[in-house]
Amino acid sequence: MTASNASSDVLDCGRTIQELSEYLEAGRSPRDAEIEQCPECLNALESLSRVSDLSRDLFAADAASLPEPSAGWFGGILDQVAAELRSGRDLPVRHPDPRVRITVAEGAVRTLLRSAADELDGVFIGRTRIIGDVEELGAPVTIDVTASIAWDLDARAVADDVRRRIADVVARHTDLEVAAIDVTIEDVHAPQPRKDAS
Amino acid sequence: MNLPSAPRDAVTDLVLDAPGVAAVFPPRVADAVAGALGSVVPLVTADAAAETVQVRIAADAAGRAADTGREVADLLLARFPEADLIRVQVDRIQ
Repeated sequence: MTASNASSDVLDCGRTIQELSEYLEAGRSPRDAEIEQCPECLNALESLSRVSDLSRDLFAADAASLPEPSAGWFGGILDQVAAELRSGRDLPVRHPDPRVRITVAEGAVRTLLRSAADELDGVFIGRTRIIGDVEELGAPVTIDVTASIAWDLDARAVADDVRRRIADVVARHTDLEVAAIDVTIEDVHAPQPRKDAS
Repeated sequence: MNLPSAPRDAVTDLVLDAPGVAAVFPPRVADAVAGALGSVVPLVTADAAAETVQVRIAADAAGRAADTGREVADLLLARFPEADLIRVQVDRIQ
């Protein structure tokens, strides 16, 4: 599976999602030392690997029963992943010494947000965004995510679980002032085997 | 003012020993080129002309990335007390 929008898949390091998809499909072999030491590439490989695993499970389990929009929705996730990883904003971290500048890469946080929410059974994250002036300490920001959930789940309960996990990730790893976490369930899909049962 | 000389491996080891640090990454190409005008230390860039110390790290997801960044900054401040800028970039949380 590869990203479809070739013009928008260049990471900050210069590599493309297409290149990394091919590297992943080759089993990360032969080993490319530059890729394996590049944080942007490693974030991308992690996200691509997760999306690939989830999509394989989803389609293998009951492809015939999927409503048509689900396939399209899922196919767009790779483009969202590319957009997340390409974003290069720096999230500042507080430090009392004015000579110190500490930042956390937005791409790293969004990768982790996707990972944390995707771990929930029956949940596939579509898009993650951090809206607001994230480069200004203390500025209120909104976390916005979309998801597809299994149709036998309680949408409100899932949204609450996703919100809790995202709040935990942001609180633990950043100094962001989160004003709201918006979770939009924009699709449903057939129930799948548990994600930890491989 | 010149920063104290810092063998790359010693400084890298110092950063790697900080709680919550999972990896230390090479500087971006642009940073390395800029550093070449002064002194280049590939993993932790100590540029005597700009009096800065810069490091890119991966933080352990089981820890707290922001706190890890602060720990690294404190270690570098102690190691380079005359630096004008200590720059810590958490580029990955794994």
